[in-house]
Amino acid sequence: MKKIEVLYDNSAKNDNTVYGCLECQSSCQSACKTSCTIGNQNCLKKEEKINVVKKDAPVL
Amino acid sequence: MIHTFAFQYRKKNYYFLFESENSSLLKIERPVFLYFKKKYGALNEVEESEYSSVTATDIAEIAEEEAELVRRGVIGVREVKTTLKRTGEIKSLCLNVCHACNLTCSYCFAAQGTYHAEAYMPLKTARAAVDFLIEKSGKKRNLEIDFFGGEPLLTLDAVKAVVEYARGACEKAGKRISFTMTTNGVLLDGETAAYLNETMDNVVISIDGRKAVHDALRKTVNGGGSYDAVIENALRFKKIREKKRYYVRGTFTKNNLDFKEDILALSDAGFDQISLEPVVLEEGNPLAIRTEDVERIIDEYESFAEEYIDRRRTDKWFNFFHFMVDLEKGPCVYKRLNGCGAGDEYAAITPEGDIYPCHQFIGKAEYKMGSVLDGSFDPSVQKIFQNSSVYTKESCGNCFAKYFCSGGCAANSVTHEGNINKTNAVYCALMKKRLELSLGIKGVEKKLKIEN
Repeated sequence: MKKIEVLYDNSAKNDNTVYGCLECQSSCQSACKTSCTIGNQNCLKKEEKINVVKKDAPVL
Repeated sequence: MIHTFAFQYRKKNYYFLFESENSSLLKIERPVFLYFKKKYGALNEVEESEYSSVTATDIAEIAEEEAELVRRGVIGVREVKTTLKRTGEIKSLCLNVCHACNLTCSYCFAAQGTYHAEAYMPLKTARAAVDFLIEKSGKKRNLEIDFFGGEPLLTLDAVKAVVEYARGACEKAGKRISFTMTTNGVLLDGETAAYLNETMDNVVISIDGRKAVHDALRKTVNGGGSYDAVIENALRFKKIREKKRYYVRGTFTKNNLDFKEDILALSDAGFDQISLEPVVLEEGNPLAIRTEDVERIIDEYESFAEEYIDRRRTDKWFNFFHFMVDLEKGPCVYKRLNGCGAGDEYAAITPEGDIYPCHQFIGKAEYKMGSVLDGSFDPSVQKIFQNSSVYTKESCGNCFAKYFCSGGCAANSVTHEGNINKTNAVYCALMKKRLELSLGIKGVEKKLKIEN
């Protein structure tokens, strides 16, 4: 690549979708009470990954 | 969805491309920026003129690189909507141990902490709330209780009693329980600090930044400023906290749109975990953020972003909550689509034992979910929240920020738009800008690290 530099490449993880466990302690629920929602927080378990490429998720 | 944006750091322009479907971030040259902006957005007159001078050879090379990235699945990722299925299990409680406060903050959403009727939670109600949590948690193993108010340190003995009861009850039920607290810090003396440090998984202390800004709106019941007491207590707590989680969290209003100075004041004071966010008030309130303030606020965020990178390269490193973004192991799909979980896996309990979707819904009768005292629980309210996601909010459909904002705060939507599935334009504009800046900071910090 000459003109484009990939800084964060998430393509390889597309096949490893983890939907989540909802066992997390989310900052927005625990104490901080911000109105910004969870989106700019990370998963405290460090196990999850965004990927909205499958149609069905397990019941959580 | 592909989104391009520019980010300036110390007079140098950086250009980025963000693929929102998989959170890939690419640094691109100016002609590439124009190419993608033309393809996925719209060029202005100046950009159009500049783009016309990009050579055919350059455009062919860009198109070739684009095709390769699409083939590899880095960009151009197709959106396939996930079907969310929920159990209705609740695993997190906001426990309003009192509706009373020793401060009279002008912008308080809860009528100076009283929610219009001062009250303290009886131990019987607190125990019923813990029992409710354990029962409603179903198969969830990790539970949490956030002590909130009003000011929870006004009733520290009740907090201690709840901690003791919840630990015992959770042990019997095979659950793990963690505790957090949001406090104004006025009563955070040495002994209390030691207790919270030992007991709480996270503690948030409210400070608005500069002394004059803080004291103007966060007054004691006697009308005096609270800054001096709070800052001393908060610094002592931070010192004993060491690596455990805490935040200092402030609010900015129309009165301090130069809020960068407040964030930096908190950093200068010695805090390294900082959050400062726009006030949420109805438009008629003189302290409310209005549409005409957005441009000024965006300028302030941009100016702050440069200073933020500078400080993080020195021994004044700090973390700013609204610039946190994880492009490698971010939140799970459920969090991305549903947000904080209010009304679904998370609920607030009033001193009277009433159940609401979150602390900001307390008092809104149509959102009352039940009572921990009489065992009532209306699943229809929970359904409203379960069914609300970025998919049900029309304005989120084509937004690059949707998986980071998760459709925004439900309470904000109700306060400003009167509808949980509508979004507020001011909130959206600020969220989008903060995400661009977060990504820009991430990209620049990575580049600087590589170059160093």
